[in-house]
Amino acid sequence: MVPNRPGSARKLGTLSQIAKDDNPRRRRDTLFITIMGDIHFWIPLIVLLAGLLLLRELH
Amino acid sequence: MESATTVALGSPIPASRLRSLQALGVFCGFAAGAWLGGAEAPIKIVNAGISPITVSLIMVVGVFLARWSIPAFIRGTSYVRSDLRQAPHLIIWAVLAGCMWAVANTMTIYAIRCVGLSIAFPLWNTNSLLGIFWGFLLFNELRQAGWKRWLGVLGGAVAMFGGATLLAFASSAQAIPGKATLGVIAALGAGVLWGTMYIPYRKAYLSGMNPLSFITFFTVGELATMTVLALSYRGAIPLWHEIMGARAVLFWLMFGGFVWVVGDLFQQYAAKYVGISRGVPLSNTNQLWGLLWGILVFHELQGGSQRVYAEVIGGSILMALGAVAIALSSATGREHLCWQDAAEREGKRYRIEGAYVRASMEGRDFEQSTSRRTFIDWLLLFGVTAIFIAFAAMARLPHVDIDWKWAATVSVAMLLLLVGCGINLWRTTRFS
Repeated sequence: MVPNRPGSARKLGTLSQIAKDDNPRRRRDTLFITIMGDIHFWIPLIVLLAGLLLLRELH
Repeated sequence: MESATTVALGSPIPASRLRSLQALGVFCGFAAGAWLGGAEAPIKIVNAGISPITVSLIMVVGVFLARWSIPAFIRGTSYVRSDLRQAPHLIIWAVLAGCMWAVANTMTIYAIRCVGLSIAFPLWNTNSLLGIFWGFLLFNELRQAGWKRWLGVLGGAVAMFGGATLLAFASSAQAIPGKATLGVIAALGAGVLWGTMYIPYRKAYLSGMNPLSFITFFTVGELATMTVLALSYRGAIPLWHEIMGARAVLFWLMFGGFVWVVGDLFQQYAAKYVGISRGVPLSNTNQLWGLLWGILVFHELQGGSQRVYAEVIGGSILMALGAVAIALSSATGREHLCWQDAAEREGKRYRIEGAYVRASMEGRDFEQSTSRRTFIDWLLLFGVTAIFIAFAAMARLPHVDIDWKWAATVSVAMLLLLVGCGINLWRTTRFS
């Protein structure tokens, strides 16, 4: 059974349960955790931060 | 019970459909080159004493208006909304890519100032090589492609880099003494930022997002970053005075931004249908179109030495050959299956409905009934048109030597590409 309280995204069950989850807050939490664990997010972010630092030096 | 995300993407897309999508992607890449290059024309006629940061900011305002009105015109904002409901996490990627674009664009201004366009342009054009690298490493592009296709794509990109170098040297400027290293670093930095910006692009399109949805949020990152940069580097009051003082040319800068968006939209479709390893180098043919405008319309390089003309002709031929090599190396069915694996991975990770991802890979609509235009769309269209008309009414054409006959000819060529590619996109994918 899908737990129905905020902040319990980590404890969710199968993918199908999450896909059917209609609690927006919990879906947002789950999405946030997934994004943070995705290397594809960190590569551009690190390059962007390095770019901002370089821009400051250039200025 | 089977999850929606486990719907198999593995069954291959029919070969005839794959061929038509690949041909469409290549066509979009060439159209992107024409319109991205053409965007330089309105900016070239602005010769007032405006700082580069302000030029960039005003352009981005035009870009922002175009990025919200063009999707509203083509499919309506309700289509964008329904697309985002399927993959809301991609908003973050789109905003991130927009921030990267703005920082890279500002860096190119420093690069041009320090080492001139001749050195800076080929250096930041290395973004296509980085695009190939990320495409291969993260999104299974060029996997099981065979050595001929590897040779076509990599050889083509290297040939285009060589061509770009020759073209850039032909329109050379002098480096500022003592600033050369900084300029080279700035140009390379812009190349790395732009090359890495294609990760979010590919991520979005493998996950099924429509380019029209992606660009509406991309531009939020673009405008926010550019506004912060302009305010922090120029200061609010000096910036305001500068913009007010340049009222007569604001329209041209915004119009340049608008033209740029058309090119960028084609680039997004190219990235979607042929991947970043092929789409990015193809749209880098913008340098050829920029040169065409410069030489034919603005009489640049007039009275140049034989060496300059040799560089222009040699560089153009090299670039064109490189683009042709890439265009002829489209993905095979086996390589496309590897793309589908990457798409399936994304679908599973973000719990995106398999049928949605599959429909997008096939260039089909997932839901048929979500592209009706609403009152908001018409409001957006009339609002943006009114803003452009207001700025056009204030605009004055600066005294620049323009060959109007050639300007009309090149514009007609661009419009033909726009109509041809637009019709093709509509017929093949309904802009999905």
